[in-house]
Amino acid sequence: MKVLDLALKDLLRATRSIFALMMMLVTPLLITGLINFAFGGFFGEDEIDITLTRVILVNQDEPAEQAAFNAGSMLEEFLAGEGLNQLLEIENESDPEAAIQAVDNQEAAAAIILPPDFTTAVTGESAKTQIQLYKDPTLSFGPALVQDLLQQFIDSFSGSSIVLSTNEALLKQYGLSLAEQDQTQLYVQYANQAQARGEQLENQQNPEYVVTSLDSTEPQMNEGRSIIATTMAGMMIFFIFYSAASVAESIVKEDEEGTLPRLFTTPTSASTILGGKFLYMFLLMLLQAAILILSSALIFKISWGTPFSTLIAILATITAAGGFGLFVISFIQSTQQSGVVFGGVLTVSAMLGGLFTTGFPDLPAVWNTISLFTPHGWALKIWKTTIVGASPSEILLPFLVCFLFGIVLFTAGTLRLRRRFA
Amino acid sequence: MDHDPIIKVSELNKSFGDIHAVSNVSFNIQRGEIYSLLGPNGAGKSTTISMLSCLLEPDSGDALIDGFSIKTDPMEVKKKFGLVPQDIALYEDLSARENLLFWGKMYELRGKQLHQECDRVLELIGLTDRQKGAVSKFSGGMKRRLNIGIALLHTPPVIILDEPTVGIDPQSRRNILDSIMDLNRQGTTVLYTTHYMEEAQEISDRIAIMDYGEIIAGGTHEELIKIVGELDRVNLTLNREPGKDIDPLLEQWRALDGIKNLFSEDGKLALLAEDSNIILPQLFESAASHNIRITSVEIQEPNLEAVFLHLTGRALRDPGVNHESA
Repeated sequence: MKVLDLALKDLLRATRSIFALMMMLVTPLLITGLINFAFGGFFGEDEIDITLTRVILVNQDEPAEQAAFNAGSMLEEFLAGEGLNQLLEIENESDPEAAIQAVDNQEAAAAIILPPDFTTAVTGESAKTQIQLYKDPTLSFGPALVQDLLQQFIDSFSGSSIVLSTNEALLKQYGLSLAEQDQTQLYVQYANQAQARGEQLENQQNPEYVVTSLDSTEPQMNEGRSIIATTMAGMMIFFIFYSAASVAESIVKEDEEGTLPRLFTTPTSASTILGGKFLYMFLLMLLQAAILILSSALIFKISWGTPFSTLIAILATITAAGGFGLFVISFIQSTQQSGVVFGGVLTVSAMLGGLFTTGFPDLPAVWNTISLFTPHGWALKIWKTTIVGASPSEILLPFLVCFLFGIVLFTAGTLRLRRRFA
Repeated sequence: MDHDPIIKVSELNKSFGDIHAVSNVSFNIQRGEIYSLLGPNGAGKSTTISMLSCLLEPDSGDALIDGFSIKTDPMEVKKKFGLVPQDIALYEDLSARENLLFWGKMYELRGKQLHQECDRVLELIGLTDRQKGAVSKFSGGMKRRLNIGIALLHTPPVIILDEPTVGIDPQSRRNILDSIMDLNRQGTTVLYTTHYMEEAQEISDRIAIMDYGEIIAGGTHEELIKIVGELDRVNLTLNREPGKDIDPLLEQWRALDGIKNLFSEDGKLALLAEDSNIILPQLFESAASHNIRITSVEIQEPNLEAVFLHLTGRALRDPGVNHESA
């Protein structure tokens, strides 16, 4: 009962602090709102539209007359397809110089210049060729998306060549061979399947730019909304970690203000007093997460995934943040040192965890690896997975890692604080 | 007042590294008494209080409060006293009533009883009209009163006050001292620490004088005064040329019969004399022979200050003053 009294007292105090309320609830929504606005969204709108990425395609492909298909045309169709036409605006151009000039003038985000032997090259009938992708270096999202799609397209043909070679070798063992028409059919069929599979994987692994089919029967977020969702997730994680550190700091603050020693003179055990702080930390973060999730769902129309997965993600984040906050604060001797924690440790660890770079899809792979050394990185991972509607089994690993991070850091922090206040 | 001590302190010791903060401190406090620990800053009063209120564990020794040991029954001990800490320890963003309700719950008060006790304490400390106001908006005196009120919520048999009048205005100090005496009249035992001699002298039934972690004397005011006998304290101000050495004069004074103790404090001199009427003419005469004038003379009846001076050779107020013993 006293544990609850202690926690409720601190919750009441938190509601009296305008600064705390701003930091916990308003700032994450405000930052997300600014990013939302930057992407052309508006709070009251039902949909957020991403500015289309303008791409100039210079298709110089000249397949041989006997060629069964035209890879250049296939790429044109692929990029202008139903799913991608919400993201890309494809314009054909015959002059490569004009295309490059358009990118230099920032009239287009990227230019794709297909060589005359494109089809011949992708079918493996000629020496290697070169596709030129000319990108506007000041942009990140659009050109990165084009590069990814182009790579995916090329890979599908490379895979087709491998499939065809393997088939030929297998049939040859039995003294059989495929007719040229069948070979072409198999080639194109595999390439199409590979592209379709590629789109599917994009949806699962890169929620920064989810490519969805309009034919889908499942209600899904559009691409812009997905960016806002991950941005909001990043902000929510950062400010939940901030709240956890603030609660942990309040133990040191109460010690300085004399209320903690006074509590120790009442018939209340040290475990109860610390338990009250932990319950307060848990309730505060739970409330913060719930309010941020509900309000962002209303304001930004973010879909946070299934309720069960969202609950799991909240628990994972709270556990990791609580442990991290307590551990970090256990090193400070006075609240005068807490500026270093809030300004330095929390911010740097959040950066390393990728919380501030959720809108950058083409970060180096090493960046993602580094983020997995931080609880923030795993918390972000669980939210990214939850947002795209993953099942509870798919978020099990990040949940366990977050939980482990939380428990280990929480135990270490508690031991340090107990030793200090014993 | 019966003779069953409500607080029994037996040979308490506490060290911090090489510093012996409290050494073999023992005393008993009877039910209904006001008992003061008097001593300069750093004398060990607060460390003693911290051990009695179970904030610090003694290195050795024990204390019983209402029959419960601070070492073996700290939770029971904590129900028996209310502590008023030296510094104000309140939640300033909560109201006076919210503070009292919270601390009352920590003292295991619930429901109707909790609200009744809050009302009683608010009335007692004169904050009924301001009970809903945020403590941060209170004056220093009001905060002090609330600080004391919290310790009274669970009507404990013992109130421990650790220098509650430090840094407050004379009117608030007067109110606090009156409140303590009122509480005592209602049967509450009071353990009071101070370095103000006048406070200890005014409110205490018995006083223990502490210095360097030890109790150097204890008893009623009268008993303590007897330690210095009939010695008068004489305070002198000298008018001398800048840089003039007064040591030869002081040496001469120390050699006079009837002077027991001599020390300088803040440029003034003080001495303990058996009979100030006899000694004063000799002081004037010898000062004149050194071309030094005595510009003021103050004669004090024996008091606790004189007792402390007599026992330690130092003034009570400032342990770091330059002192010279006769």
